[in-house]
Formats: sequence, structure tokens, C-alpha cells
Amino acid sequence: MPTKPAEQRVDEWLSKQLCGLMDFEERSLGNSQDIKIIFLRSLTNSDTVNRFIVLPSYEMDLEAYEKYLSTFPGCEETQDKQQIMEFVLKGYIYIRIEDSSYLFDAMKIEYSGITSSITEAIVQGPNDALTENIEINMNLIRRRYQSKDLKVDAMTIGNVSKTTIAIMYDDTRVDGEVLKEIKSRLSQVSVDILQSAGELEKYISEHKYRIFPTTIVTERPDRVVFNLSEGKIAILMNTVGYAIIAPSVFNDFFTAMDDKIQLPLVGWFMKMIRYIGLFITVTLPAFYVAFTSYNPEILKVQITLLIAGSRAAVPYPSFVEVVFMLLMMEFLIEASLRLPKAIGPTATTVGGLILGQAATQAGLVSNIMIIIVSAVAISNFVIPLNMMAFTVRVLKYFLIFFAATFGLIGIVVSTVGVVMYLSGMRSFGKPYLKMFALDGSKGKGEKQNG
Amino acid sequence: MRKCLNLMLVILLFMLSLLLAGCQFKDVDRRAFVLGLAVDSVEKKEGQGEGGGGGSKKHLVQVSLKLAIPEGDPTKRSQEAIIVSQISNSIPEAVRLLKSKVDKELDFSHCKTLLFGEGYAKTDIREMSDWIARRRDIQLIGHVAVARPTAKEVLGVRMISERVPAYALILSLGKEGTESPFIVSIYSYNFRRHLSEIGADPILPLVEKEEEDVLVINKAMLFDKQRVRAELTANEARLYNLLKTQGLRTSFNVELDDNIYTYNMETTRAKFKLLKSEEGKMIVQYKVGGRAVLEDNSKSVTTTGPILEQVSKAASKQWEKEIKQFLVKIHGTGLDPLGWGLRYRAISWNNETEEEEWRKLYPNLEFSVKADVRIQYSGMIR
Amino acid sequence: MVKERYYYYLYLINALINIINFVPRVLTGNRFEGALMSIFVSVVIGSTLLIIFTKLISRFPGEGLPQIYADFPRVVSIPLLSIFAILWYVSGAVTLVSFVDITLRYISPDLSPLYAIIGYLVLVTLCSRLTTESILYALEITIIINVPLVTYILIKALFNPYLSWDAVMEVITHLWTMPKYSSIAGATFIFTGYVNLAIFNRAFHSMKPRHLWLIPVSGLMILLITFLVPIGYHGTIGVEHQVYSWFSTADSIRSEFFVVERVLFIFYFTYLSLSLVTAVIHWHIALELIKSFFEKKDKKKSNPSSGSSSMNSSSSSSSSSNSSDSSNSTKSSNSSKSNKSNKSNKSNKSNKSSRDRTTSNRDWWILAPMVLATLGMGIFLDQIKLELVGQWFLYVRLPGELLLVASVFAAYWRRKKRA
Repeated sequence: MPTKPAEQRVDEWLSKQLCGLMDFEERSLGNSQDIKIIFLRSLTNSDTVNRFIVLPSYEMDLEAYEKYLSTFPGCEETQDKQQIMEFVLKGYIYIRIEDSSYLFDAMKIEYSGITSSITEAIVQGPNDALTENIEINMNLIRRRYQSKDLKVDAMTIGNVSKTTIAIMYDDTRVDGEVLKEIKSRLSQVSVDILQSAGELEKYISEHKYRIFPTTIVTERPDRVVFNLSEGKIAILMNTVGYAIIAPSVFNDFFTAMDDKIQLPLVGWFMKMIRYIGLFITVTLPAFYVAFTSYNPEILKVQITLLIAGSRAAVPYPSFVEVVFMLLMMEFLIEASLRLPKAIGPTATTVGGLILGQAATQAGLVSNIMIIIVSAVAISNFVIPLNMMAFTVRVLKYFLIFFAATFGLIGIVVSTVGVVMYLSGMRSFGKPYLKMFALDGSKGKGEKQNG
Repeated sequence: MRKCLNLMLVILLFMLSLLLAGCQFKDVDRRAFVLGLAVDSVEKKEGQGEGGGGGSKKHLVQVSLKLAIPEGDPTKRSQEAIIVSQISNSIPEAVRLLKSKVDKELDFSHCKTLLFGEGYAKTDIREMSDWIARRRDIQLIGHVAVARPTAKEVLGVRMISERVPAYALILSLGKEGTESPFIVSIYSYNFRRHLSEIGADPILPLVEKEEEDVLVINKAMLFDKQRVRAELTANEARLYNLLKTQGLRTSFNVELDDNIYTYNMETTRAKFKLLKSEEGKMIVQYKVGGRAVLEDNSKSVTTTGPILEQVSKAASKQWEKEIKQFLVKIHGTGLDPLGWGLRYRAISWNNETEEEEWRKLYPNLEFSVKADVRIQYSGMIR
Repeated sequence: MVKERYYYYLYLINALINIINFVPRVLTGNRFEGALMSIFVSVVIGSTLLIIFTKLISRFPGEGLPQIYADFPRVVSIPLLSIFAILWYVSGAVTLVSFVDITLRYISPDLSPLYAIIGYLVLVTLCSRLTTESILYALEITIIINVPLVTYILIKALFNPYLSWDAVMEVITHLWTMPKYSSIAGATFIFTGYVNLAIFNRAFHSMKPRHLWLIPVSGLMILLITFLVPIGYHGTIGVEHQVYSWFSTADSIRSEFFVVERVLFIFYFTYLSLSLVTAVIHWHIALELIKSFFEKKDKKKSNPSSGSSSMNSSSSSSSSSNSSDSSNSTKSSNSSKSNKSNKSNKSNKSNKSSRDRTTSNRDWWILAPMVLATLGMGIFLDQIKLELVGQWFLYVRLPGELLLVASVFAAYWRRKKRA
């Protein structure tokens, strides 16, 4: 047979390529020992190998065994060396029976089970979070979105990591332009390792230097489903427990999944609270600076005297005070994030209570300042999605800077500037900040504080 | 390359703008907040005119400021106030001289009490009123008043009830705290409007120092366009408020059958019309009225419906009499605090001659008052 | 492509901003000389012009003024466009400079005017380069946030017991006086928002605004309030003493139960953001008009054969960033494709970045003289001169408006004849 030497070379080539690996296995099976299997032990399920491959090989003759194998889903015949190599590295078993070679799916996948979501907690409603396995994630989503229009396109990104990504969308609702755009951007991504959703988000978004996120990164399947139904596109990644949703506009970052559960009026109220929180967290420190240093006439006389009184011992100008306290707060948040869960609360207590108390008593910062910093920190956490919450954390320094240089005018001008900047932004061709995001169809109001 | 350049540019801009800061950057604790301003005129021989140098010593003014000194602990009642004053030949000059008496920058932006000393108000208030309207940092919603004996003394009174210096004056002059019917509350923009308006003259409340720490505000001063012309008694000030505002909270008493009934007004209303009488005279016709509750009667008579009706009638009659007296008195001063002239201008469509006509009509004005007091409730008991 | 409601925003912002542009000044100056009558006259004139222009421009869906003028010979269209570009530029500049004056007068007296104007200019120049749609979105947000505040202030102002209705009535009795040109020119300003369609029409695909009757009605209301409320506060005589009568009026209102007691500040915030957005709108138009000169030249250079066609217009695009793309995507004629260039710009990226840079540079070369001239205005105009400039702008603007309507009508006529 003319093909035989070539084939011989395939398994020899394969074993030569892989022989240095500790978990490399090469066995000959069957009564006549003419079945050869090659696989990597660490990637394969040994139970599957024993029960479905090794045992039957002694019980039937070659022809029957070959037929038996080809009935398995996930088993295919191929001659392509490159493909064989790739699949063996994935956890397939290479089986050679005489002149034909098969790849048998015996992947062993280790993953943590479906846990409840941590970064986007809600009060009531579904608790499942996406897992790090794309199949399970698709299962989670398909189960919630049982429609034939839900299309999934697969792609592989990463020269080394070979991460599988799935682009999910509802065919009837999606905007074709956006889909094409996303696909072309994804196909242009060229990296070695891709390990997190944030990374991918960075590669596919328009501008390099921007501070507002244009895609949502979420771990909630129900959010994915909700957005799919709005005609958006979800990108799932293998080995990553997060999905990317695009295009996402400003308003989407202020939607918690609770809003659907709440009564309409309560939902609106909650949404309004979030925008007020946004306004407070961004502008309050800036207003403090502008008020204490430029225009003390805005507020009532009692408050003015109160602030003046509590600042009487503070030797620094107001913006130093503000930046100092805000930085302390940032450290506190960062620290309690990184610390093990057991000591986290201790850091908060020490930092928040003792430091704040001591700083005011020492006369380094005013009492009012402590209140403002706490208000800023708390209202920052009201924003449901972390990407936006982080952005807002940065944004307020920008405003403080302008308040310190220009006073009240600085605040107003920079707020108008931010609104303008946001209006000029596009998320995959969709206007990022628009008053009525759904433009009449549903009339979902959105408010941004200018 | 280009990016690098852009970045440099941005950094440069930021640096530059940091330099800009500081030109007016003054923290709140480096400012001394002026909470009250008082202007008195000074007698010629006393006034030395420390600043300004020479010039005519005719109008020497003494400017006094009440400054709040914020202290560390806001929970304690330690908000001390200090009073600084300066004599000079003009108000701005005095303020400039006062700056060197205080260690902090004077900030007028919370100055809501503006007092004219009685003596000053009797000479010429135009300078002060011009100054307070011209300065951007003095609010137009400040309260203006005349002070007796001098503005400085009134400003120096520290009421026991006040937490923030001079706040008692703000509360009472603005009727934010007390709702005394005797206080004529005038904002500075309002005062300014009446100073310039044709056919309406300003009126200001009078603040009197009674004891060391008691202030009384129940009288009012009538101005022409320049200075004080007449004074209203407490009762007249109340009648003025009754005619000028709606829903005044006050009580009156009326005598009926040797029994003195006191009733409290729940609602009041007042409006006037200008009518031409047959002889070509102008009649100012006031219609006043309101609903009242009986507060007490001196002989504890059981109040029945007919009695209430009788009391109402008597009260209305009394109102008519008192108001008419009051109007005649005002008319006698030749002033127009209630804006009859303006009303005439507003209703007359021949604009060229209206001012002239009014000038002719004014001396012969006649007044008629129709009062309709309805005492409808007798309180908790009959 | 945007909905028609943005048309009303364009009108509304101009109507609200009149306070900054010396309209109350002109009106109160003439309050005994026919200001009230001129308000009624100008409601008629203003809304007539507005309706005619809107109807005309709706025949050119998706086209800006340069494209509409493409039918004219260049000898006519270039001077016309330059006149309008200058008018729009001056309009934005007057708004900015007078707001600097207001800032110094009411908010930060110690701030150097130079810094304030630099601050405003940085924002306005950066933002006027945004796409037309983006500016409309920002406009909508600004309007929706600020209009409730303005309404609150107005309600507060109207229900103040110290508002003297007699003073208001006194001015109303001067109704039957012949109006002057100056006060008509001032009062029609509030209807001028529609002229912004000259460029913003690119963002509308159809222009059939409903409820047009709202515009004269609301315009009349706004004018009466603008004119009469300060009189009620400062008196028939005192109102003339106020430099910015509305800001003094706002300072006379107190909101006892709000965090900020002095309404002046709320008013200032509102009007600062409104006037910045107005300046952005006007400068955006000026920029786009001037840019249209160069685009034609470009096209002739790159594609001399098609230069002879007078209908090579559709190139100038809806945004600054993709203006260059359209010139190669649409070689021949007609209209309404400018919006598509939005999408085409993603196709050839490498080509685009270099072209982008040239257009971006050109934007800056156009904006630089505008900025410098405004800086000059900011420095050399004192209170009196600024008022004069502002009033002259109002006087010149009305004929300019008539010219605009007439020229668009002529363009429509030519196109119809050809068809």
C-alpha cells in the first residue's frame, strides 16, 4: 500500500515530537497489537480511555473495532498531521488502525462548578455565574434563551493559548453592521496569550487612550441573555468566566439586573439613585475644593462657618486635603481588595475608622472632609458594573484638578466637556451617550448629570 | 512621535494651569466673613477722617462690620463675632482701611444684614445704596434696615439665642424665624427698586436696641428718594404689612359692649383700586378682609353665632377707621410707600402725560376703605 | 440620522440663550419706545422666517449649506458662505466673551479674563470638531438637564410676592408705540435657532417637524418673560441700571429650602453650560462652512475630470474625521450619501490615518484664527464696547438671516428648474 509508509511516519513523527513530555503515552493494543494509540495523559480522561478504547480492542476484530469507534460522536478520521498534533494537544487520542487514523475525544476538563456571581451581586434573581468552560457557559445561556435565532460563531484567538471564543447573537435582532465590525476587529487581534475578558475588550475597542468602557464585561448569564434580546452581541471565551457584551452604551453600565425584578417605580428610583450617586461621587470633592477656595458664598452661612471652623486647624490648601484623603481611600479600597478575606475587615476598620478619626483630631483634615470622602466612596459603589465604577474613580481627580485651578467655572466647563466627550464616543458605531438610548422604541429614560 | 508631542503638550498645559491657580485661590479659613454691615454718619468735629486724606469733611461715615470668627469645634457655641469699625469719608475707603485691621481677607458674600444708622438715614443714603448694589459680592437678597440709636450699637448686640453671629437679625428681618406682623421685611433689591421707581417710595424697618441684648423691630421708616421723611409706629407698621402682604398672621382686638374681644387673623387679603370720583378727584379704594379666630374675650361671654357676627362687624368698622387714618397720615407726608403712583402709571395708557397728571392728582387724593373681617371660629370653646 | 425632536432643541437653546446675547439689554433700553410691540412683530417675522426656512431645507434632505450652494457658481457661493461663516463665528464669540464678562462680574471677580476665556476656548474648540450628530446628542442632554432648572427659576421668579406687577403693567401700557428696528432685530434673535440647520440638516433625513405652532407660542412666552420679569424686579427705571438684568434678577431670587440658597449660582451654572453648547454649535457650523472651501479644492486636485460637474457636492461629510473618505467614495453627484461615509471610513485604515491627520491639521488651522480673534475680543473689549459689539451683531444678524433664507430659496428654485 502506498500510503503505509507515510502513515507510519505520522505516528512516528508524532511520538518524536512529543516524546520529551512527561505525560506522553504510546501503546499498542489489540490481540494482534496492530492498534496504536498516542495521547497525553494529563489531558485525557483515563476512565474513558480504558473503557471505550482499551477494553473493546481485545473483544472484537479490527474491522468491527473500527466501525465501533467511528460511531462515537467526537471521533473523526483524518490524515492531516497538523490537525492531529493540535487535537492531541487538546486531549484527543490518536488511534491508528492499520492504514487509517482516528482522533477520539477523551478530553478531561477540570473546572470549578457553577458558582454564584460575586462581582455583580443582586438581591433577588438568578445567582448563577458564568464558569470557565465555554460549553457550560453556552449551556447556561442557551437554557435561558431558547430560540433558533441565537447564533454562535466560533473563532480561535491567541497564537499559543489557542483560546476558543464564541460570538453569540440573535440573528433577527442584531445590527449587521455591528456584527461585521466586531468580527473584523476580532480577526485582526494577534496575540500569544489571551487569558481574560478585559484583555480582549482592550484589543477590540476603538481608541487606545480612553477612560470609558465601551463594552460590558459581565459574569452573569442573565445579563448576557438580557442584552442578547436587545440585539447586542456577546463574546464568550473559553477558560474565562466572563462574557463581553458589545456594543454597550453609557446607560447599560447603570443597569443592574435587579431593575427587571423591581416594581417599575422602584426600578426607576433605583436607577435615579445610581445617577445621583454618579453625580455625587464625581463632583462632590470638586465642589468642596471650589467652595472652600473660590466661592464660599454658594452655600448658607451656617455651613460656610462650619467648614471654615473645621478647616481652621488645617494648614494645607483644600485640594491637598482632598487629594490626600481620597488617596487614602483609594489605598484602603485597593488593600481590602487584595487582602485575604479573613483580614479584609480589619484593614477597613483600621483604615477607615481609626485613620479618619486620628486625622481629624490631629488637624490634618477637616471633619467635613471625612464626611465627603465617605460619601464619595459609598456613592461610588452604587454603580453596578465594576468597569464603570473604576472609570468614575479616576474621573473625579480630573474634576478636582479643574476645580482647583478654575474654581466653579472649572467644574461646569469640565462637566460639559465630559458630556461632549461622551456624546462624541461611539461603541461599535452606536452613540455612547444619548438621552433616550432606545430612541423612542421603548422610551427608556436616561439621565446624566451635567 | 506625534503622540509624544501631544502628550508633552498636555503635560505642559497642565503645568501652566497649575501656575494659574493661586491668583485667587483663598481658602475659606483665610477669609473673614462679614455678616453684618452698619453705616453711621459721624459728627463733624469727632470725625478725624483717618484715611482718604483731606477732602471735604462733610460726609464722614463710620463703617462697622460684624465678622464671624470660625472656631475649631462647630458643636460648641463658640462662634465669636468681632466688630470692627472705621471712620472715613467714603464707604469703600473705610472698608479698605478696615482690611488692615483684620488678619484675614474680608468677604462680603454672606453679608445679609445692611444697617443704616438713624443719623445717616436722615442725611443721605444714596451712597450706601449705590455701593451695595454695585458690589458683586453683596447679595441682592440681603436685608436692609434702619438702626437706632446707631447702627454700630445695634450690630454689636449679641442675642442669646443666636448661634451664628448676626443671624438673629437675618432671621427676624427676613421673617424666617419669627413671623411678627410688625416687621416690615425689605430685601435690598426691593429697596433699590423703590429708590429709583417713579411713583413708589422706599420703606425700611427700624431696628431699635432696647437693652443690652434685646433688639426690637416693630417700627418702620418712610423714605423719599434720598432720606428718611417719616416714621411709622408699631401699629402703623402692622397696618402697612396688612395692606402690602397677603396672609398676614396677626391679631387685633375690638371692643363691643364693654367687652374686649381679641381675634387672630388666619388669612388676610388687601387690594386697592384707583377710582375717579365725580369731581375729578382720585379715590384710592382699599378692600381688605380676612378670616379670623376668636382668641379671647375679657368677660368670658359665651360666643354664639350672632355674637360672632356682631364682633365681626365691629372689627370691620374699626379696621376701616384705623386704615383710613393710616392712609391719611401717609398721604400727609407726601410719600408713596404703597405705590399708588405706580399703579396710576400702570393703568393709564396715555404715557406722555401720566406723570404730570399724577403730580396734580396726588395732593387731592381721597381714600375709602372697605373692610370685611369675618370671625368664623370661636376657638376650642364656645 | 437623528429624530426631528432635535430640531426643537436647536430652537430652544437659542431661545434660552438670548439673555447672554444682549437681547434683554436691547429690549429694556427700548422699553418705553416700542419694545413690547416689537416683541409681537418679531414673533410674526421670526416664526415666518423659521417656517419658510424649515420647509425649504426639508427639500434638501441630508445636505448642508455648502452642498445646497453647489448649484451656484463659486463666485456667488464662496462669498455667501464666508459671510455666514463669519456671522456664525461672531455669534459664538460674542456668547463666549460676554459670558467671560458675566463670570468676572458675578462669580470670580479676581480671575483674569484671559484665563477664563482660555478655559472656555479650549472646550469649545475641542468640541466643535466633533461630529454633527454628537453635538446634537450633547445638546439634548444639556437641554434636558438644564430646562427643568430654568423652569424652576422662572416659577420661583414669577411667584415671588415682591415681583411688582404694577411695574410690569406700566411697561405694558407702552404697547402702542412704533417699534424700532433695533428692538425687532433683538427680539427675533430667539427664533434664530433654525438657521443652525444650515449644517445640522446633514443629520436629519426628513424634516417635517410637527407641532410647529408651539414655536411662536413658546417664543412669545419666552420673550415676554425675558423682557418683563426683570422689570418686575428692578422697577421700570431701575432695570436700566442693571448691566445683566437677568443675572441681577436671579440674584434677587432666594430658594430657602435648597442646598444653594442663592439662585444666582444655579442660574449661572445653567447658563454657562447652555452658552458653551451654543458656542460649540455655532463654531461647528463656522468650521464646517470654511472647511467646505478646501474640500472643493481637494477634489479638483485629486479628480480634475469631475470638477467640471457642478453637482460634485455630496462630499463634505457629516463629520470632521471622515471628511476625507467621502471624497473618494462618492465621485459623482448626488446628495444624502454623506451619512454613509460614516461607515466607509473603517474600510481603509492605513490610508485613512494619514488623510485624517491632514484634515485634523486643517481643522486646527481654521480654528486658530478664530481662537486668536476671540482672545483679542476678550482682551480689548471692555463693558461698553462689548455691549456695542453684541448689539451690532444683533442688528446685522437679521439681514443675514434674510439673505440666508433668500439664497436657499434661490438654490431650491435652480434645482427645481433643472429637474
